Amino acid sequence: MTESSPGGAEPPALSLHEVACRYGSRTVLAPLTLRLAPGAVCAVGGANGAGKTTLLRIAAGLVEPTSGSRSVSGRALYLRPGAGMRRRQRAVEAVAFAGALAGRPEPAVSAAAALASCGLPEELWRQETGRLSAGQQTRVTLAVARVVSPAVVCLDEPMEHLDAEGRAAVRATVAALAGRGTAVLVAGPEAAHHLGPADARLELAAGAVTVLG
Amino acid sequence: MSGRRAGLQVRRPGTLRTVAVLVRRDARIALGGVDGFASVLPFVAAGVVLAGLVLGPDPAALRTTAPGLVWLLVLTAAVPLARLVAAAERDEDSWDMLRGLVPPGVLLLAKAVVLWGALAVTWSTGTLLAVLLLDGAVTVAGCAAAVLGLVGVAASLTVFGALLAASARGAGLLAALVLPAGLPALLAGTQAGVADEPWPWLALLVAYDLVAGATSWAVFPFLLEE
Repeated sequence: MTESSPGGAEPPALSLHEVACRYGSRTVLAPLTLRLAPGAVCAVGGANGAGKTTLLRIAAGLVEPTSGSRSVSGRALYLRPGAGMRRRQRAVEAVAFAGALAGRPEPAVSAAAALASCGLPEELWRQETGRLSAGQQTRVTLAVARVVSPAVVCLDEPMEHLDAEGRAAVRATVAALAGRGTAVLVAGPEAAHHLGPADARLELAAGAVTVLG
Repeated sequence: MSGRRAGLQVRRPGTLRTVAVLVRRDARIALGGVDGFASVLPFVAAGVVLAGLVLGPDPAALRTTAPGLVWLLVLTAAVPLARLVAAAERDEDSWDMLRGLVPPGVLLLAKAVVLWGALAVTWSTGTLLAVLLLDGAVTVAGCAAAVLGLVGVAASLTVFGALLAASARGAGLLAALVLPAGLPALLAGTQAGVADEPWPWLALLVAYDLVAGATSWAVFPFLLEE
């Protein structure tokens, strides 16, 4: 069992207790205990197939763990780069749609602010998201995370397709979410390196934690 | 950070508001493209025209078969419409977000409403063409049967749509499942439109809606699990 508890005695935003995942006889994720306080940031590193995505999808409630338990103090969102929008939606409509589902009182206004914060040029806001580049779609995904601001956000490889400016937008989004009390899990082969200071750092290899910081 | 609350504290929108938001988005996407829903209507039109050619010029035969033909075309068109539930969302990577933000029961309701709308437009188009080309008749009981019967079909189809997205073999299963599940609507919907006494058939459709709705409500959350 591996345990990480950034945030100390505070009621956790996310609590995973000895969660494990197996597909048949293959262990995808060894038992892991993790508690993240509101506003905590956790970088999850590891090579391809190490179990990062499985951990994030369990944390978001999309995958039922084979054993162990999970609790979240609100809603949890799992987002890959370019996820969270239909290709025929305009960028601003896609973000406003997520905001409306999350209960934001003025979703269109929140969407515009979120897109501006994520650095998507205003002339692209009314473009269909399917016509945006991969990096621009990732910025829309970040705007979705900002506008929803749930209890837990799991960002899977958010640095993919991004230039230096885009990676700065990811860091700013993670900081903004943490500032609002959202616990953020960020996965990527070098997530800790790209993310900078984080409250917790996990390195996974073959489904098990090898480094915990 | 002591005593800090997790995430932005906003009140979760009500069921009707969430359903309205989802339906509006899906309707815009469906009406804005040439694939998916829009591709079903030419299929229905071709089905009515070809049936007319196959059945020959006898007006009585055309009139008698028109209601059943329309229902059969609607059920056949339901197979591609099932993609509107989850497969299209999954392919475009928006399904995980919906699962994260919308409770399963509300998601079922919203997607069933979207499918009911798509099926109703399909039935209306088929019926209009049947009236124009096959000398078919539109009755109040026939329309009521469509309104009722399509509720059960939409509820069942929502479950099959989630199954389609959850299973790699779902596409093959779908056609085999949709037509038997829609059989009560096909039979009662057709008979209600032509029978002198439509009430027993309408009552059968209400019972079908209740069974299909309750079954879908019970099964749908499990289909969302991975």
